[in-house]
Amino acid sequence: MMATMLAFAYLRRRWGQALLSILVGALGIAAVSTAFVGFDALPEAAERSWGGVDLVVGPKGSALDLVLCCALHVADPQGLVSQKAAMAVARHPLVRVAAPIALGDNVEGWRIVGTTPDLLKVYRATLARGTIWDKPLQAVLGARAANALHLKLGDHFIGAHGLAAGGEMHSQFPYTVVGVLAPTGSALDRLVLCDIETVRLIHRAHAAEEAAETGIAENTVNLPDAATAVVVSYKSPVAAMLMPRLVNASPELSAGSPTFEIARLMSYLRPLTVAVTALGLLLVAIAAAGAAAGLMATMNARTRDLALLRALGATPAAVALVAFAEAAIIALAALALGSALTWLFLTLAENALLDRTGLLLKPVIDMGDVFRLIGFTFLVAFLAALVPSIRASHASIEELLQS
Amino acid sequence: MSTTGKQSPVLLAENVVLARGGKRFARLPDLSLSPRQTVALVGPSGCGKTTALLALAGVTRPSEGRIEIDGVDVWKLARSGRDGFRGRRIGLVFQSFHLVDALSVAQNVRLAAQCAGHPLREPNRLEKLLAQLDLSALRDRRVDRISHGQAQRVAVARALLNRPAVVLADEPTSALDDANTAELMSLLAQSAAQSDAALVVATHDRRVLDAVETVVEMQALP
Repeated sequence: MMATMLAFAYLRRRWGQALLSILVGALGIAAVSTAFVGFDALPEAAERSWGGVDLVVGPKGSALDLVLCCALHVADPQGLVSQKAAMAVARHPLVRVAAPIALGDNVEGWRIVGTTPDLLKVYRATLARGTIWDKPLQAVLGARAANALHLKLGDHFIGAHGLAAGGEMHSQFPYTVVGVLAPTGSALDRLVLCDIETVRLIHRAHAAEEAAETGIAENTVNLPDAATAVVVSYKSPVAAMLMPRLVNASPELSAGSPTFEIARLMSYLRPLTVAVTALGLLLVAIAAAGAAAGLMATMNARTRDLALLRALGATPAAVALVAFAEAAIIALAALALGSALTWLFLTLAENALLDRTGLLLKPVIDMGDVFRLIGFTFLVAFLAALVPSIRASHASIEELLQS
Repeated sequence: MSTTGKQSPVLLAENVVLARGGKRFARLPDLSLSPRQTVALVGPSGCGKTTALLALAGVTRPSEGRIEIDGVDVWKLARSGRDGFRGRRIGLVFQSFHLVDALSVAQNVRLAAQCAGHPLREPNRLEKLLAQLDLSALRDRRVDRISHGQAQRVAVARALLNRPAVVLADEPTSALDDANTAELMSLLAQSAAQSDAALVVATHDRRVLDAVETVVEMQALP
């Protein structure tokens, strides 16, 4: 009680220095906790996004690019494959369902994906409204895409060339909305689906126009059943051992496993996590050093006060407690502010990630980590207050009376 | 010189010899003070007055002798017991008052009870003491914003809060003019008497002598 009262009174008197220690400590705590919580949540966000896709079969190239492009829908395609060739490999007893996808167009930045109705089975998606397409230029919208584009059944829209907004409009090919999917929490929610032949039809026309203008023919013309990839959902986990090897044995195809590639990507990001965590710990250490220096300096200035407490009957331990109480108040305030900053940083990261990649970050707070963080913060505060408190407990009553 | 009161003594000092650096240098005259008695401990600077007060307060162990406060042999208590005992039964007034600038008037006075780990049993003791010393209006004002005279009264209130058996004041008037010296001594003596405490003032200030009942002189040892 006495220690708390004095600690608050002393902190009020040096509020600028205390505030600085609290701010630096809070930033450190926020950096550490954001790194921990954010990086833990990222693989789960990716897993939610790829939904039921166990394997992407695409052209020879980077497996990670295949996954980012065709499972997470956050990167551009690297080439084309023959649907027939890719589906031939995918048609295997260990495969539950496979669907080709063809990318290349967008509507206001939302990807148009040519596919077959089997894609809904891959993601275990259901229609919220309307029906599946049965003609070219009929579209079924993912839940988020429908919401963002403000399109309802029967509405028309025009697709644009490329995967980013602002491409050349395919005005002669208006789409009609025939269905809207129920939310799945996966990348499917951000897609606009149509029959794969629709994409080929539009691209053949576009390629023909360009060829007429430039004299150079696109390879889609040479590959009539061109697809960006085939996405596969396994029937059995055993397929995870067999299928990638089977696909990679083909001279034209390569396989990308979302689980494996995202784990690999996260391992690349691990040094970043370590760096952010180290930076956070450094900030906490700086805050502790600042608080310790502040306490040491003020303990010198307070020698008289502390000796007075001893003269009035306070035990050395009770006097030492004043320094600990000050450090504990700073630690508590830094924890509270650090928690608020963590929430703010994670919310900003959540919104930025959702806007830019469609990944839905759902940070989960591990109470074990919370208690470890609290324990660590108070341990640092304890260490910062240790020397000042020992000095405080040795305050001399004799010197006070003789001063 | 010894001083003997009529009631049972609240302060008893017998054969107390003080040492500095292992060398005996002064003897405290025997004292036996009853509640409300006042005594001045005089002698030139460096004669051991402050050391004698420290010995009476249970801070600096005398090399010889016995000191009892309220019937308790102070130097037979363990260190932590002595700290608590000092907080509860001995009021201290310092030369420069030594108030905690970061705290208010009331918080400074209450500190005496908090340091002694001694909850105030008497209802409204703090408020009554503040009223008695004309400090009620200043109770929430920080002590670095009050006058010198008001600070004196806060120091006296703090010394008396726990109803000590003895109030020990060390050179309380050394920096004061005549008028303020008279005022402070009157305040100390009256307040101690109202709290049934004996008052010991260590001073080399001859102006104090009129305000106390008894004067004892420190004895230097060869």
